Amino acid sequence: MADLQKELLQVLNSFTGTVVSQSILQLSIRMAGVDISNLSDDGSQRLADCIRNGINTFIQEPGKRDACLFKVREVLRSSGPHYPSSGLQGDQVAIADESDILRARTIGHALIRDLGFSSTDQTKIVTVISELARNIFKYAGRGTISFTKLRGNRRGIQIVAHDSGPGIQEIDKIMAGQYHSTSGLGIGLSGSKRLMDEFFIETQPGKGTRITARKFLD
Amino acid sequence: MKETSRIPIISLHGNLIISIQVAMSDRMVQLLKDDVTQKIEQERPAGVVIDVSGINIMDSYISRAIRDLCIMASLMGVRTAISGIDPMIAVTLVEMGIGLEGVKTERDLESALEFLGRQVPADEEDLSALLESPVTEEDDWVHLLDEVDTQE
Repeated sequence: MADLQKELLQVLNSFTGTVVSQSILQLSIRMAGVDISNLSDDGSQRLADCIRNGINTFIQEPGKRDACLFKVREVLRSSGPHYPSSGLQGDQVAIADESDILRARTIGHALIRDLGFSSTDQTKIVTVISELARNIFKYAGRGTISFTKLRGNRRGIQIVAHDSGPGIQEIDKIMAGQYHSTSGLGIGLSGSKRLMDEFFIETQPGKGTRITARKFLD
Repeated sequence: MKETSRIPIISLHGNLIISIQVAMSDRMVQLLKDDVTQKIEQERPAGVVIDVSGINIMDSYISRAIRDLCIMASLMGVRTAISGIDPMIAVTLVEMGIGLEGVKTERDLESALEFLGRQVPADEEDLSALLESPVTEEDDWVHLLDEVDTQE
């Protein structure tokens, strides 16, 4: 579908120059490793993530970025069957492959850098993203990591790791640090909790796990 | 599928230097373990330094992998050290409760090589002489004392 490419270019053109738009799109398609004429859900999401990185690099003004990203998503959503409609202020990364761990880290990092976290906090939060994404990959196989910028009383970031995997057995023991698994799940989770301001785990054996982690700016 | 890239292992003056600069995948960790043990077997180095100054994130998995590498090398009778842990990574690891017990850490590559107790030889002749001479007991004592000093 060459139309999709044309449509995306038009959107990008309206926010940046023609040359910039073309390079953003070409690079994104290459980095996402997708065939733009035949986008899967996952591919469409990868492409959106890559375009988002390009937009963040080339458009300095946050309001303009959001608007551009919003339009790009609209175009992608209308082309793909079920592209998830995450809000303007956040992002979602599908974890299905080991390389997605790094992708989640990169996307999350860009977001928290924008929010103005100190570099030590950035290292801590990205470490937590890495732990959560790796747990999904290792134990559930697939799932999602979503990021939401928290506004209002306390500004910060919310990270939600969700999967429909086997759930975590003996979660209380793990979080109390009494559990020393050979695979390293114990220290990864209890350590992540220590790095964040809020950390909740909902898990059901056989059903899946949802972990919500928050870190505030002040 | 892309071919998995390998972490290079550099032989320098009888030591092996492993400089990790990328986020490692499971496969890369596995390959590195195989490569390191093989190189130790082949080259009989005096020491192994794992330099992590190029890594900006160390989660529990990676720190465990690096610690395992050190322990493996130690088990094979080779002195090992980790160098170049970023200050922000140090803060993060401590808060998580991850220690690198049983592993010698050094500020940077240079001090790690010093710790391994090898002067940089002036020429090839010295090099071969050094390679043949085992670490003396005296050397070991000096380093033990150093370690005691830093712990206090």
